[in-house]
Amino acid sequence: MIHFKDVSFAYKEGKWAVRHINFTVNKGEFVSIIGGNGSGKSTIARLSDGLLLPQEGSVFVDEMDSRAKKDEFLIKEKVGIVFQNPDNQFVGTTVEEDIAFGLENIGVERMEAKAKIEQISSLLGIDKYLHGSPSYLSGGEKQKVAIASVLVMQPDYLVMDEITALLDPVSRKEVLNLVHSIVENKNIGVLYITHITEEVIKSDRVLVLHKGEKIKEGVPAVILQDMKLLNSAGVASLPSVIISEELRKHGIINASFVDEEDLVGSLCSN
Amino acid sequence: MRKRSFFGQYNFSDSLLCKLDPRVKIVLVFSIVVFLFFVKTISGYVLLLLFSIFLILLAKSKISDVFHSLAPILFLLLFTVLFQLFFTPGKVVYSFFFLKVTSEGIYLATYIAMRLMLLSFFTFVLTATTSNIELTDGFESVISPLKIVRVPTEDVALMISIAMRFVPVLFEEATRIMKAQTSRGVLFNKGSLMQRARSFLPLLLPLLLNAFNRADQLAIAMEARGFVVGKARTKYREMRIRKIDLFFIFLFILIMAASIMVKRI
Repeated sequence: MIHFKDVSFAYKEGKWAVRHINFTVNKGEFVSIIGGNGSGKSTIARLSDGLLLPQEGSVFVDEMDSRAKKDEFLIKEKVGIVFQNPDNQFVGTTVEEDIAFGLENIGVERMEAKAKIEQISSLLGIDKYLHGSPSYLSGGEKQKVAIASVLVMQPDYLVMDEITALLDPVSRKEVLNLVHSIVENKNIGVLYITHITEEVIKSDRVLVLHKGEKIKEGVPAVILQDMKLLNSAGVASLPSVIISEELRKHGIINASFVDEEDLVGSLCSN
Repeated sequence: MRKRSFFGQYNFSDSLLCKLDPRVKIVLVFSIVVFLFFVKTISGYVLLLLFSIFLILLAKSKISDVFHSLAPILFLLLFTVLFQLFFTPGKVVYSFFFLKVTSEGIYLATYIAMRLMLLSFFTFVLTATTSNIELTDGFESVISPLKIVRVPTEDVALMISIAMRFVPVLFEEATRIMKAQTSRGVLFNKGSLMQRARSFLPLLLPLLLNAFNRADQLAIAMEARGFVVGKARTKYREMRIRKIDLFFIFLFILIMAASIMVKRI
């Protein structure tokens, strides 16, 4: 379990990037964090695997305190992070070398690494690019390589920091579906960070951040219907919620819907 | 889409040179670069030039790309050549005001131009046919004896490799920023020398800021993937000296010997 216990962090003294953050991510759970620019989302991502250390409170990964020097490496093995811009994450000049980089760092031998790379690249559908340069891939494919580079290390938890922010809508959907299908089968705990409301619908829980503070936590069905809350956090409400609210005001339907299909179903039955 | 490959940029292909052991390539290129200073005849340099062109073609690179690789050293090349040409004492063959071209100057300028060009060509072959990771592994292996005197060879090798990886990235970024600034009215090629120098500020500042930002993000991503400075790592890429490597070692020795022994002109 990743456990944030009353965590506060400031890049500059007195200017808190995140303040009194409490939440957990269990194995097999998909937890999303949503918030606008400057809400502290990326700081939480970096705190979760010890890239940053909290100034107040503690971050625990499977009971290991991120501040304990002896567990530093183990925590990084357990928590994998995928960042927004894949171009700034590539170390290898071929896709294969890039995926292998993490395995080399954790001491995996060549034959075992080769098998793991083949397996993960085929799972993510990037096996045909293994011997090519990652620079020449499309945005979606680059992000798949970045995800593969982290997943190949078999982390227990995966933190994804706005991984679809630079992608077009089609690639965004493709990458997101892929992430859901992979983590469902692997029993990985996911901390998914985004500012795009549509992306958190399938989450188990959603945390709403605003100016470094958690303002709400709950299931998507509840959080996403609260348009005021989302507006105050600087993120857009779902079109399905906005439309169903308008229809409800006019007495056409009597509930608000997060899922577009539910909204259509309700309209058809009326 | 095939991108133009220039100095520092690996050009992934199925060429024979790409398959050579990186240690062999590093040692051979280093040896031939040092050897360049011992060649005393133009015919020796011509032989090495032909050999370098043969290697460039074998690497499946374009000759035009190689000339493009000369761009960063063009100023140095021209300055050195002109200096030698006009300021070397000896038998005057042509004079223009106070400038005197001597036969010794022509020889020296030709030697220096050939040396710099060949140095650039052979280095191009190495970087175009060897990926950063191969270079790192190879370089690390070559300098590994220095571990005895406590030199952190792994870190030094990785540092060099990443710096090299950033060279083409920075070139591409500079071109992008230059276009963006030109579209906003910055004139890089007009005005006095001072004005031109000043016009490069809007290029250098964002370039430096972006470079620091990229370096920071790469460092974070590497750390997140378990990279720890000084910690032992396994090697995914197998380095093995095969018959083809031995053939190239023999070929290099042969060419070096021939360029020394070729008739002085």
